[in-house]
Amino acid sequence: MTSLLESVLTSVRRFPGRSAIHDGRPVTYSQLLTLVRRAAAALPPATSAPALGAVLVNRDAPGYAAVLATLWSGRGYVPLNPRYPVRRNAAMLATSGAGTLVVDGSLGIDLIELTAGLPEQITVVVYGGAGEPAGAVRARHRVVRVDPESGEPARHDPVDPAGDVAYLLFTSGTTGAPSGVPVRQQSVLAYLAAVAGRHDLNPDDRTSQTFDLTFDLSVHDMFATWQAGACLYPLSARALMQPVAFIRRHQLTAWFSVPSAAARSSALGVLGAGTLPSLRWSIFCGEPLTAAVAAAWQSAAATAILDNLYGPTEATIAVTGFQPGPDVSAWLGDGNGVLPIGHAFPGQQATVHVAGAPAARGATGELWLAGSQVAAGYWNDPVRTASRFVTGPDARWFRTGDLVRADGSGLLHYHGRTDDQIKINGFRVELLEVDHVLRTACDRPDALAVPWPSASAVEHLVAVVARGGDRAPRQIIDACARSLPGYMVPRRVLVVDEIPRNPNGKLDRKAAAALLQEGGQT
Amino acid sequence: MTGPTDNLVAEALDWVRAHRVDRETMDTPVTAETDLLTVGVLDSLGFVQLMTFLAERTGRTVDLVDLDFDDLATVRSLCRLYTSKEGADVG
Repeated sequence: MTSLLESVLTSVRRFPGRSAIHDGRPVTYSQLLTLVRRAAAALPPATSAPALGAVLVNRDAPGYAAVLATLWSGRGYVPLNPRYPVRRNAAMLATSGAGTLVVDGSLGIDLIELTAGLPEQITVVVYGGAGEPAGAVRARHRVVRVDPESGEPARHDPVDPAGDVAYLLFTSGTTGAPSGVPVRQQSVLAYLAAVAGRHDLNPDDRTSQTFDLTFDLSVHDMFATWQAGACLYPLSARALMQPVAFIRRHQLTAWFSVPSAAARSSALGVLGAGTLPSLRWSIFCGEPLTAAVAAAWQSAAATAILDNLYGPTEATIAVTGFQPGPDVSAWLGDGNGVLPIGHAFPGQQATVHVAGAPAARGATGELWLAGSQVAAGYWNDPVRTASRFVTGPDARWFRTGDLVRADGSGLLHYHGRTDDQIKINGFRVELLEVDHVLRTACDRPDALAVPWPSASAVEHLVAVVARGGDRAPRQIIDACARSLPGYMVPRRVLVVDEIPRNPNGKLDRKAAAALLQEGGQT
Repeated sequence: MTGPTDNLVAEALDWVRAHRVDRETMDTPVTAETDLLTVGVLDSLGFVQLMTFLAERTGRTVDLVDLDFDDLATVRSLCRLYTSKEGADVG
């Protein structure tokens, strides 16, 4: 297999009449190809690297087709998110330098604001929906309307990738702006080969699609499913509140989500013994999986094999994994109730470092990763790249910032972070980025984003702000919401007399969290 | 629906007001008909806790296994689930 797109086209040739997607109605591989070719007809072939194309779409058949059409045009894809504020999507679009944009016309996105900051003309493909884009957009960019139901399909074959980037994803950055991670074709293909060996998906499988396209675990959903000729079932955010009903209704055979979804199901009491008999695979990634949640899920999905994956975006989706076997209760965790994250995938390297040198077995230190799945660096950001990527004599390493310990058998155990990065329902958040936006929103320097109820199990963020500013809490929250995705926006503002500082004179987040606890929260 | 359900709706609304994540500002009005999952006054943990609160107040166990939250995310619909015979017998 030579490209991400080819992994799908192989299944189109082998299984044209089987379902590739079920987004409320079944869509066959052959129909998916037609949707792809209709969007691809409007995209000019990429001619030079780096070649990228953005997509701003729903997680439905036309949306997935937009992703594949961008690959068809020889470009890597840059997912934007309909649930993000326009300002953030516009920043991602401009930073990426994408030459094309496929946007679902039914989303009603403000294309003027989305494209206003672009220095050069791009091709905007409005895929579906009604109405005409504003003249201001058409005056500056090449705008093409395509009807997914009846558009003329592209006649040309897929264009060879003009660059080696398969996709460019943005993660939370530490300087107040999102940070891009370009992932190469060879890295994704290495990942897909690893999971093909790990999970025996076949054309009879029905798999979940729970992750937003801006989250790299969605790459697993789409391409691990389609390379196997299986059928992908997107779940709405609402269906994810109680996923057991969805899994039962559609008899899904493979589940992949953040552990939070399983924890919610457990709390709602819907994980009774044998409730999920259709599942063959229960895969979790994105945040620590506790033994308690794993045991509850496994009692419902007793015949499924549970796989706990771990990996940052910079190392392509997931790079270590652990399958505890049927008796999850045997795994008490490394004293913290969390399942091990296992061993590195074949061909990838994962080692524990303390003070920049390999740690003794059994010591807790920072996890460093190397191998074909590790990205070359951040997008157009040499400073951040230099701070997180290290070229050693034998390999190029990515410093994850994750604290892990290798036990006597070499199993890796997760022990938190070295820095201010947290996970909220699996979403990666740099608190420094929220701080930056929050201080702008407050128009004052003494404000901090604090995880609630704790940094290890975050439900939402709370803004702790020192008294004396002239902005009302509502104004502060609204200003944050114009720049940040919903999960990063502080949900409350706690005004305090003063935020304590640490000995270095910096605002002390732990002390601010203590003030929040005293604030009478339940 | 009369009597007990109205009381439960009032108690559930009080619970939501006391636990909503934006309780300092409270500027999103919440009534018995507000879709709790759309307006975001509760986070996912809060939503689960509300279900627990209703189970405790009514002393009933409702099997949620095959329940879809598509048409079931208002205070009134959740309360009905925990007071109606059909709801209690789900599953």
